Amino acid sequence: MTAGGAVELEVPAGVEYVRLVRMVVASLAGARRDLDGDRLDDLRLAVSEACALVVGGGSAGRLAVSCREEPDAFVVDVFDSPDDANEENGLAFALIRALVDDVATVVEDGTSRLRLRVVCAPAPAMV
Amino acid sequence: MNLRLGRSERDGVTVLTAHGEIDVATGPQLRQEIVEIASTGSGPLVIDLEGVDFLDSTGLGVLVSGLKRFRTLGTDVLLVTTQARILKVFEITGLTQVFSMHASVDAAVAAAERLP
Repeated sequence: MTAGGAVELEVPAGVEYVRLVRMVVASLAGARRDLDGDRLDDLRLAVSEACALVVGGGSAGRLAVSCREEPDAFVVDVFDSPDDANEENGLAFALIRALVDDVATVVEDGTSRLRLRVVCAPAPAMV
Repeated sequence: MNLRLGRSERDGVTVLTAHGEIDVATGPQLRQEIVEIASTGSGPLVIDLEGVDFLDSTGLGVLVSGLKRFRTLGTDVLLVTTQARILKVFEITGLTQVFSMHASVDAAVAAAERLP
């Protein structure tokens, strides 16, 4: 992942793919940023919950996530966040809110996404 | 599958042992097993989560619905885990107040035997 560049992952929107996505995102975060095991576990679960909301909604044919680095954060966008998820999935949202530093539904380029942000120490300088 | 389930009896108490990951993909497998055990009317159920290294809200939902099912039958579900990352999920969601939670299968079975 170069500075400013995003890593994107797209898989079929099936429950059996959620595990793959959370593993890839946590591996990436661990490789790029100085996050300890507990914080990676938190991110892994938060990403999994967000993906499960999308897959459980049944609307999307694909499950897509985009990871990028900011100076003080690792940011994961999970695409097509369901509008009605807030009420129906209280446990999932309670977990996501508790596990990451910030969560928001964001609309960019006409697509909505659930944006998870984990604050972390500045990235090592790119050579 | 990434979840393995085993069933045994300890002093007349059914112990369901789970290994692996309980998530949106494997939750239904656990749900089916709990429903099956409940249908045998076997008294309290101890679920050993010590070998579980990932638990999401789907898994919590399965455990809560299992708890309701057993309490409707006049008995209970008791959980075993000492793992910080699993306990944390229960704590965030307030479910440590709902479940009877124990540090070992022995302790859970002993508690199950004391149930009315």
